[in-house]
Amino acid sequence: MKQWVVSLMFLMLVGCGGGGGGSGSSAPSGPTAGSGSGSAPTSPTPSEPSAEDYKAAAVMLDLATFGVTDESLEAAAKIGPYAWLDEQFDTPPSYHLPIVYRYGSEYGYDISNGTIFPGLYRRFAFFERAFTAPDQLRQLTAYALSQILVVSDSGALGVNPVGLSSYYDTLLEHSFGNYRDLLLAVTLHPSMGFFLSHVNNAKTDTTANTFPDENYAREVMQLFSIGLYELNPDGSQKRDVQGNPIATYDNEDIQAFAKIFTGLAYDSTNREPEFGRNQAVFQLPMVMFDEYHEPGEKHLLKGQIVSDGQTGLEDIDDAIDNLFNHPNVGPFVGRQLIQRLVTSNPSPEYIARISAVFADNGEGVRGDMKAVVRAILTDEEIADAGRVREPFRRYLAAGRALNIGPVEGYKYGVTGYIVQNLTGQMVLTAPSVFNFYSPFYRPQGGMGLISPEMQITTEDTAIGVTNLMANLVYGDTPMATHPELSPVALNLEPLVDLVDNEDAFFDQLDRLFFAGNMSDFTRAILSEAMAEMSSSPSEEKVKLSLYLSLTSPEQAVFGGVQ
Amino acid sequence: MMINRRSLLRRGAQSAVSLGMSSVVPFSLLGSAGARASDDYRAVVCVLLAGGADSYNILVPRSEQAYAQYQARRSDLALSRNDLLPLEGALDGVSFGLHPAMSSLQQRFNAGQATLVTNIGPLVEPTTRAALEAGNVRLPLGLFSHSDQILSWQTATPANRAGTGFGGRMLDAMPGANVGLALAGNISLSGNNSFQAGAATGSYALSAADGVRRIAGYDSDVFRRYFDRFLEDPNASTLRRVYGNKVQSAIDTGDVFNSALEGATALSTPFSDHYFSAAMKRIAELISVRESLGVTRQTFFVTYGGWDHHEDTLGQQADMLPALDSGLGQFQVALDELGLSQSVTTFTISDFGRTLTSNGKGSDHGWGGNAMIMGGAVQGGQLYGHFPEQVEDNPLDVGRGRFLPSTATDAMYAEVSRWMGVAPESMGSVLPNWANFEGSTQGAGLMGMLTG
Repeated sequence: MKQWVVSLMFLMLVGCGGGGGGSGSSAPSGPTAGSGSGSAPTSPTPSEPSAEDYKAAAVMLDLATFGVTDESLEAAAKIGPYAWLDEQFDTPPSYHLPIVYRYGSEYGYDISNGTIFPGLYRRFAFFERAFTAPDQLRQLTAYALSQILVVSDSGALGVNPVGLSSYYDTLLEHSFGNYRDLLLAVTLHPSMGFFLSHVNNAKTDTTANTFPDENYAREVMQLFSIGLYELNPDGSQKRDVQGNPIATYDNEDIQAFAKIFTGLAYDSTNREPEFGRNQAVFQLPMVMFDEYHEPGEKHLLKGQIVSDGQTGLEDIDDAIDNLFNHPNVGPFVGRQLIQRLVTSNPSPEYIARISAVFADNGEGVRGDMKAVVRAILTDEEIADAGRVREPFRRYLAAGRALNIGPVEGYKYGVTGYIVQNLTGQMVLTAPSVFNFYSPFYRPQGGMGLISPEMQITTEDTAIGVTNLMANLVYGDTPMATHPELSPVALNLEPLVDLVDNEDAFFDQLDRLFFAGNMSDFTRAILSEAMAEMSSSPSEEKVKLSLYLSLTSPEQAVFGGVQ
Repeated sequence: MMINRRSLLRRGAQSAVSLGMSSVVPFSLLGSAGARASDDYRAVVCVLLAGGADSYNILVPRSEQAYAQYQARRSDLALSRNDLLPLEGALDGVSFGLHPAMSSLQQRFNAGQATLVTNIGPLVEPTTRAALEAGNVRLPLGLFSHSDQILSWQTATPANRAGTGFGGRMLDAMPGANVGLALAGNISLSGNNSFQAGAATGSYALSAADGVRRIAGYDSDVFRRYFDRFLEDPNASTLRRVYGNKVQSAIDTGDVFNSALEGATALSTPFSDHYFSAAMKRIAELISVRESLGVTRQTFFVTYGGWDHHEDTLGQQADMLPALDSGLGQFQVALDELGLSQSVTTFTISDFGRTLTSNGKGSDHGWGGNAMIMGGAVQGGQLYGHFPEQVEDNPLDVGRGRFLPSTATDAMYAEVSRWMGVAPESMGSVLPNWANFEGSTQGAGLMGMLTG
């Protein structure tokens, strides 16, 4: 944490008119072996993409990845954003659990005898994938889903990396699949069973005076599928004759669904599974014990009934179908995905377009996530977007754009603790199933606009995220790391090479951080700053430009319209 | 440490509304005593037990018959009667005890400085079981839902989402109280929240662990000059302005807070390491510099979350309640040390009470619950409200031991408002539904709970 202070001292010298010139920074400057830092072609060719091609690529990459890189810019500018999307949809998933097992085996853990790996490994796995995986759109979609179908690192999920990585892999697996399959897989995932307590949830016992746990029944409806009120396809609430919103379910429905989600227990790898056993096996779906499943007929929503005599899993299947086919799912989930991926205040028309795709992908299929994600990312309303960027994604994007990588010969060891501490946000660490923020949060002074991310933007975190960027840009050990692993480093060389060609340098900052939409206002201020730094070493110019760019309100908010 | 007057002045006019300042901060008053004498100081500390604390295992009947009913209804969730910490006195002829972890609360209760309001919860208007079943009474939005009931408690407007909270509106109603740094009226140790959102007053969030942060490199002239200019984009979109204003507010008020906190009383009261205790310590320190901040009426907000105990209620409460009790207790000792125990009232709120009946592992979402109140102004040593008989056929039981509240949240908040000094004619703006309850059973019984 101290190193960047030294480097920042350099700025003070410059500001006091103290020339600079020599080795102002004590931080070992320069690139260590950054991974995957493609360099831009240097000589123009007839087929070289135009400025407009780069801009279109920058917008798509900003929306659809964890961060724009030089390499991805070149690729997407060449083939165009829609072809790039197609490529992404066809890229096989990069799962997280194999990385957890890789670390486990490298450090001598043996999961077959029930050993629990250090919880840190799921963090290493996430950052390795976020920074380097080729299936960026899938990784990002899973991340967006992780803020709708929320589990968090409480209790056993915090200390055993298999639970959260396996859950994330489930989201990855279904990101471009069908929402119905996703909902079922999430329902049966032991991490969700643990988090919302429907694992080892037993049927009614009148002797003991106990009743089925209502937790999952409530949240699967309120948060994962239909929400509290009946919706029109454009996301607006339906109204009854008195003008009141219409509840989608009441507490009797909750108690009925609670019966559905009884009888599930952890599977086992080395012995017969047993209902009530608390040893969590997180990599396998929960299994049904019909003798603990509530018997009898059960009432679902919209008057649907599951008949007596079904198995527990048949009941669950019917209940998931019942929810999945509720007309609310398209607008309810679609609106939130738009908010995560594009804009905080989508118009009713935008929501309706996504609802329509959710209802039918054009081939009669409901819930096709690939079609939904494609429709969200190619909608005309992107031009009018406005979304405060999540602090966690600002960190990832800066890291990717600046070629974050391990020092040569070492492995990734990014834990994300520094982001969590300074911004309050980190993947799968929400304070509850209600995520980090409400999808309806309206900040003070926002003219009525919704901005979920402003709910976690306080005086404290506004400075926190600023300091995070200082730490990233000026630190020579920018990440909190696992002690025995190497620090990771940035490779600023491509930008250092550009800095004296101001137009090209700013164009590159624009594409990496401003989705190709940097305002003249910002460009003019950066230009003045560079003029003042004219006698400083190139690397210091780059660092100041980065620190200013990455902390400006223009960069912090995607889209300049709302 | 000088206040960054330049940037405050520069932005004062344009950002006054969005920062929640009723006018440009009068700088002459900063750093000196406020307009009011310090003995006029009053503050409330709202502790949000996020997740819905099972408060029917915090306050438990001890009388033989009532305990037997409790035990039968709670089955595997019942605490042992012998473990309960006895409270003096009785309510409706029943004696009570506290969860064994709540020794500070017990001590303060028996010393007359703490109480609990029993079976309290959000209501829109007086509500009977019959009206509930007939459907001819207005009800809080999203009953039994976390996200709704947590808002109902913070806003005291359970039938709508007006966007303001009880704490914020209370300070709105006392505009002359905080002539110094208006933003210091509402201070949160747990980020943005609805409780402190006012129409005119804003809130300030700082970190319990790290206090008030400073921007890295901001003391570098060259960085600061350009960084500041980015906050002044005349063509910035609304969201960019909102974001920029938050950064600006952080810079401006951070200096004031840091400067004020340099004069904070070094408390000799020991606080434990738990983050809830750390937050309560930070609040005590902030209260000690109230004159430097120029405030005489404050709300503080802190969240201690993780109470959604659908499973292992007994184990998880045994893990979590000690930190709650010691944080509350240590804070009260610190207030004694500051000589301010009469001036500060702490109360807990939570999403909801929980089902009396078990799901075999824990309890599920309910409605009415028990709120804790502590402070020198509390006429403690007795319970307030009406404790529901814990039997299956209690007409207040709307299912599995979910209780229709006997007392409306508004009744407790009305008493807090009155104590804070809200004028009777302002009560309607602070608690829009209070008029519905005045004179009703669900609005009665709390008058005089806070004195002085």
